[in-house]
Amino acid sequence: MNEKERLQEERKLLLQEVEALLSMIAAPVLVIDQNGAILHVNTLAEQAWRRSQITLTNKQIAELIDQEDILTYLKQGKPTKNLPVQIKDSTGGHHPYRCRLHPLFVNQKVAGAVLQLMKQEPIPEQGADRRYRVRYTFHDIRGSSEVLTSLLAEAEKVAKSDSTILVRGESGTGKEVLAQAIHHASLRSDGPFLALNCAAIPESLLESELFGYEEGAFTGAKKGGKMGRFELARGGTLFLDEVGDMPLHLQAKLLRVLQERRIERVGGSGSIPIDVRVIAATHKDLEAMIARQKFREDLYYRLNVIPLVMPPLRERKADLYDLIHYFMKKFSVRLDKEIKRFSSQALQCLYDYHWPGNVRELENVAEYIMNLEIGELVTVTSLPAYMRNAPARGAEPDFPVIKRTEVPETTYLNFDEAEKKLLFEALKRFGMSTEGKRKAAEALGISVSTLYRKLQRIRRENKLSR
Amino acid sequence: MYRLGIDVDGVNTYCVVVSQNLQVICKAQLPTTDDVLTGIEQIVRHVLQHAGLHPSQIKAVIIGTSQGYKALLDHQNLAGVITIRLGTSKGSIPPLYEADQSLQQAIRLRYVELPGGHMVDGTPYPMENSRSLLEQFLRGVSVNPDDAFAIASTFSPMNGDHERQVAAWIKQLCGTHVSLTMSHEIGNIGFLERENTAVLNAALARSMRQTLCGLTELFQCLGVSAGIFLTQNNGSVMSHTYALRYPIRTLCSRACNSFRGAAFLAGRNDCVMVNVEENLTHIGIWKKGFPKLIGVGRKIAGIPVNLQMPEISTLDWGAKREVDDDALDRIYQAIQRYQPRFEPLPILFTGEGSEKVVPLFKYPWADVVQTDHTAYVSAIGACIAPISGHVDRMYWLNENNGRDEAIALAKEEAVKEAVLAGANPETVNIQAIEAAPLSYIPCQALRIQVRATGLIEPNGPFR
Amino acid sequence: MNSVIQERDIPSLACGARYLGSGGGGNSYLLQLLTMRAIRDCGPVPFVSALAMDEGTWSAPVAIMGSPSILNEKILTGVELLQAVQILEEQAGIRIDALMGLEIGGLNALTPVLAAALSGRPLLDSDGMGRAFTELQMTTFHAFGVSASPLVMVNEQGRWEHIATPSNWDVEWIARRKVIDLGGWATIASYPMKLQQVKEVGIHQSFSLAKRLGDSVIAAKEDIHQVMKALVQIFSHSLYGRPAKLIEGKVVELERRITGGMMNGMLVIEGEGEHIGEQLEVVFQNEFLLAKQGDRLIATVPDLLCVLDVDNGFPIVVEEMENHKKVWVVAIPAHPLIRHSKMLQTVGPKRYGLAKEFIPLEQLRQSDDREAEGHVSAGY
Repeated sequence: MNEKERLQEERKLLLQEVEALLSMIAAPVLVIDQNGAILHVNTLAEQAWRRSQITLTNKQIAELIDQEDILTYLKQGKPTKNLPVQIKDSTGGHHPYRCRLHPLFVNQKVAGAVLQLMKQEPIPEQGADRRYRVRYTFHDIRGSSEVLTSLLAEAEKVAKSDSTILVRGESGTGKEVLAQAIHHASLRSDGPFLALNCAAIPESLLESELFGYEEGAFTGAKKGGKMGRFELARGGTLFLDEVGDMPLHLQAKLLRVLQERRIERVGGSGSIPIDVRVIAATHKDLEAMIARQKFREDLYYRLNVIPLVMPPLRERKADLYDLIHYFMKKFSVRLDKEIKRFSSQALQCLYDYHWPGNVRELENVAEYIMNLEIGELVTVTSLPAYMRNAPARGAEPDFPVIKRTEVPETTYLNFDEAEKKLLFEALKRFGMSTEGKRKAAEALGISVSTLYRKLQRIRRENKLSR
Repeated sequence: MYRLGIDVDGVNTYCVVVSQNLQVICKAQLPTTDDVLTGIEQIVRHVLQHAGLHPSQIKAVIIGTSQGYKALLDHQNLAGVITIRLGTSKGSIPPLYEADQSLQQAIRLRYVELPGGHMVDGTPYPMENSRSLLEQFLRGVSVNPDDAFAIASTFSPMNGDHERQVAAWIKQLCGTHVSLTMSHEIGNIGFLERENTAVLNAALARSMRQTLCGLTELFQCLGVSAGIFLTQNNGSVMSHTYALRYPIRTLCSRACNSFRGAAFLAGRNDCVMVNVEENLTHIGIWKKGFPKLIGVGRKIAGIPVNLQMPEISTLDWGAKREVDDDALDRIYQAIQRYQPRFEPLPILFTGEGSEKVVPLFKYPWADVVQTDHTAYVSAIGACIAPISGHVDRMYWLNENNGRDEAIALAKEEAVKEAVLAGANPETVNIQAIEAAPLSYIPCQALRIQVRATGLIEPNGPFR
Repeated sequence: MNSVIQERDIPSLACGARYLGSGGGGNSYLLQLLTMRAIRDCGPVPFVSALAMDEGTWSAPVAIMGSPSILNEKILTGVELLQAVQILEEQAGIRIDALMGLEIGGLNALTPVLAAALSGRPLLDSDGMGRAFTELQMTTFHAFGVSASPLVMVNEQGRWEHIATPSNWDVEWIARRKVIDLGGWATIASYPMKLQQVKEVGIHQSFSLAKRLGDSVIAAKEDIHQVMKALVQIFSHSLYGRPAKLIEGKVVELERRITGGMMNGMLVIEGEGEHIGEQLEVVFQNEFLLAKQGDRLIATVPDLLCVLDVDNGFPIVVEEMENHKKVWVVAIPAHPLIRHSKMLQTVGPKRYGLAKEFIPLEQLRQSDDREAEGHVSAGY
C-alpha cells in the first residue's frame, strides 16, 4: 500500500471515529468551518432543527442560530461555555439553548469550531401566572356518545375565535371543565384563565370581585386598590359561572362592560380597557327568567353569541359505562385498591337512574363504591339507597334497547286540555331544562317563544284557580 | 466474442455491444415499434453494421423488458387461464379475487376445486377421483389451444407431488405442449398469494411464447446463433426456456438492470443507489452485485402476489422539480433506510437528474459518487448480468433431516435451478443462504432461501 | 360503527386489532377478505352493546385457534364457524342468539364478525382478553368463574371435536393437542354464557375501540409520529390508559425458537436519536411480554407492548421481526379488568416465569425523568 492509500485509509478511519463520537453525544452538535459553513452535524442536531444532515450541511450558521455574537466568537477563536442562543428550526420555530463553542485551530489559524447545544431551562413563570393555568383540556372530557362528540367538535371550532360563549347545562355536567378546555384550545392559551362563581360570592362583594376597586373605595379597602377578575384575566379568558345568579344591577354593569370593552373599578373614576374572552355558564332557565324579568334580555343576547349545551348525563347514557369505570380506575389508584365489577342488576340500576347531579354525582358514586369493603362485585344492595328506588326514567338512552313499547291511550278532551296534555307529554319526554324545552317545542312544531307563552298562561291559570 | 444487451422501454429500444473484457464498443437507440420485434431487428442490424461485427461473433443476447408488466396492466395479449385448486376446503375466496373486471374478463378465468393437497407435516390428502373430476370439468369448459393452466395445491412448497400429478394429467388430457404453471415453482407459503402468482404467470405465457418465438426467428434470420436470455426480477438473467416457464419473473427486471449498469460504470459493487429520473426517484441497495429482494406484501395490478421483487423506494419527486430542503431530506431519509448500522455504504447517484442533486448532497461519512448519465445504463446492466438460481422453500425437519440436511438439499436445488436457467455447471457457486423458522407450527419447519450464481460461458469474465 | 358493522369498517377493525395484539394474534388477509365478502353477501352485521341486551339471551365467544400461517395455506371458508356454533348449541342444549369475541387482538377480531355475518346473528361489542393471549383460559371469563366447557372445534373438512371438562386449564391442554390433529387450526365456540354473565365478566366496547383505533391510524397515513399521536389520543380516552414510547432504535439482536408450538425468544433494540446509548430488551412468547433495561423492569404483561415499524407505524408481529429493523417500542397500560388479581393468576408475569409480580406501567415509569406529567397534549 502506498503513502496515498495509507493516508486515505487513515482519513476514512478518522471519519468513522468522528461519526461515532458525534452519535454518542447526548446533545445537538454542529461542526462549522471558519466562515460559519456547517460541516458535520449529529442526529440530535437533525432532530432539533427537524432537518436531515444533508440540508443542514448546505447552510450557514447564521441561518440556524439566532445570535449575533457567534460569528465573532468563531472568527476570534474564542471559546464560550454558556452562551444563550435561539435556534431557528425548519418550521420557523425558535427554541432557547445554551451554547458551548470549542474553537478549532490549524497552524495557529482558526479553522472552524465545534458547537454543543444544551437545553435552556424554561424561565420559571411568575407566581401569578402559575395560579391561573388550566388543568383540563378537551382530552379530559370523556365520552363517545354522539351528543357529546358533536358538542366537543363545535366547541373546538369556536375555541379559536374571541366570541363570547354561553354554556348551558345542569349542575355537575362539567361546564367549567369545558370552559377550561376551550381556553386551552384558544389563541389565548398562554394567558390566564380566571373563574368567578356568581352564586358563591355575596352580592355586596361581587361587584368589586369582578371589576376591582380603588384605594379608599370602602372600609377595609386595600391600599393601592385591587384588580378585579376582568383585569387579572388580561390576555386570557374569564369564566363567569352561574351568571343567572347575578343581581340585575350588576347585569346592567356587565352589559356595558361587554359593549364597551372597558371597566370602571369600584370607587374609581377612570375606565380601563380590558382584553378578555368571556365564557359564561348557567344551569338556570334564562329564557324563563327573562319572561319573569329577572334577567336582562339585552345581556342575554350579548352572552349568547355562541350557545353551547353540556348534555345531562341521562342524555348520554352510552357514556355511562366508560365514565363510571374511568372514575373507579382513578379511585382504585388513589386508594390503592383493586377495581370492582358490577353485577348485571347493579348496571341496570345505574342505567335507570336519572342522575340529577350528572357527572359529578357519578364520580361521587364511584368514590363511594370504591371505598366500600364489599368484595370485588358490586351488587344493587351496595349502591346508595336513593339510587335503588329510581324515579321515572329520563330521556331515551343512545343505544338500541330491546324492550316492549307502550301503547298510548286515547281520551276525549277539549282542545285546551288536549294541548296541555301534549305539552306536558313533550316536556316529560325531553325534560324541563332549557334544551329540553327547545326540543319539546321542535317536536310539537311550535316556536320556543310560543311554548313559553303557553306555559306562562298555564301557570297563571293554575295560580288563579287556587 | 461479444454480448448484445437490449433494453426495451415504452419509448425507446436501446442496444449495446460489450466485449469480453467488458468494453462497451457500440451503442444505439431507436424508437420502440408497436410490435417490439421490428424495433429490435432494426437496432441489431444497426449495431452489427456500426461495430463492424459478424453475427457469428455474438455469443449471447440479453434482453430486458417491462413488456410483461405492461401486458398485465393493459390486459393485452393475455392467455386465458384455467386454475386447478387442490385442497381440503371448498368455496373460500376464489383465485384473483381482487382483480378488476377487465382483467378477469381478459383471462376468462375458469377454476375448479379438487380434493388433494398436503398437510403441514407433509401427509397427503387423498386425491379421490380427482382425475375424473378434472376430466369432467375440462369437458364442461371450452378450452382454447392458447389457454394456460395454473395449478395450486395446499402446502405445495413443502411437497409438490400433487401439482406434478395434476400437471401430468393435464398433459395427457390436453396435449403435451400445453402451457402450465405449478405454483410451488413460483411462490412460497401463503396460498392465495401463491395461487395468484401462478395465475398471472400462466396469463403471461402466450405473449412470452410469441415474443420468444419471434426473437428466435429474428436472430436466426440475422445469422446470430447466440443463446437468448431475459433479465429477471432478482437482477440476474434466465435462459429462453426458463423465461417461457416463468414469464412473471421478468416484470420488474429493468429497475435492477439500471442499478447494475450504474454500478458497473461507477466501478462499485456495494452501494446505495439513487436513480433520479425526471418525475420519480428510485432508491435501493446494491450488495455484492444484487438488489435486496422482498417477497411479501407485494401487489401486481392490485392483486396480492408472492413474488420476489427488488426492494426499491420510490419518491414522487423528480429532476424536473426544484432541489429544495424538503427534497433533500426525503432522499436522505430514503437512503438511510438501506444503510447498514456501521460503515455506511457509498451513495451512487445515477439518472438524468443526478447532476442537479449531487452538488447539494454533502455527505461526509461515505463517498458520494455520480455516474455520467447515459440512457444506455439499463442495456449495459442487462448485458453484464449473471445467471442465478433461486430457491425459496419450506423444509420439514425431523430426526433424519435436520437443519443441515435441509440446507444442503436447498443448496443442491439452487444449483440445479441455476443450471436450468442457463449457467455452466462448473461456474456455479452459492451466493447467499437464509434460514428462518415458521411460526406457530407445532413441529419444526424451516424456510430456506438459497441463491446460486453462475456464468453463461465457461471461462468468461462475465460475472 | 353505530348499530351495524359494514364492509368498509373491516380494514379499520383489522388495523386497530393489530395494535391490540401486542406482537401476537396473527395476521390474515384471507380472513379479512372472507369477512368483507360475507357482509357483502349477507348484509351488515347488527352490532349491539352487551349492556343493552336482555339478560336471558345466550351468547358465545368465537375464535380461530392454531397457526395463522397454516390458516393462510390450508384456507378457511367461514362455514366452519357456523358449524362450531351450531354444534355448541346442540351440545349445550341452548340457542345462541348473539355472538361475541374471545380475543380482540389480531385476526380474532374479525372471526366473530365473519361468524355473525354468515349466521345473521348480532355481534356484541365485547371480548374476553382485551388484547391477544395464547391460551384459552387467559380470559376474563375464566378469571371470574365461567366454565369454558362445552367447547367445540371444527376444521375445514367439517371434522369436529367437543371438549367438556370442569377445569379450564384442562380444556386448553386438550384443545391444543386436538388442534394439531385437526390439521393445524380450528374454529372454536366456547364459554357459552347468558347475557347476565357477559355483562359482569366481559370486557366491553372492545370492537368499537379497535375500530376507532384503526380509523385514526389509517388517517395517520403511515407517518409514525402521527400514528403515535393517534395511539395516545385513542388509548388515553379509553379505559386502558396513556401509551408511553419506551425507545426508538434498531434491532441489533434477535433470538427466535419454536418450543412446543410457541414462538419464544427475545430481541434487543439499541437506541438512536434521543435514546442514544440506551438498550432495551423485549422478551416474547408468541406475544411481547416484557421489556427491560438490564435488570430494570420497564413494562410487563398484561400491559401491552407494540414494536412499530418506523417506515409506516404498523406493529410488527413476532414472526415477522427482522434484525436491523428500525423500530419504536410503545407500551400501553392494560384494561383494568385484565390487571385484576384474578386475571393476573393466568396472565401475570409470574405465570410466565418472567417476574415476581405485576407492576403497572404507570408505576414503573414514575421513576423515569423523561415522563411528562399531566396532559396528553404535552406530547409523548
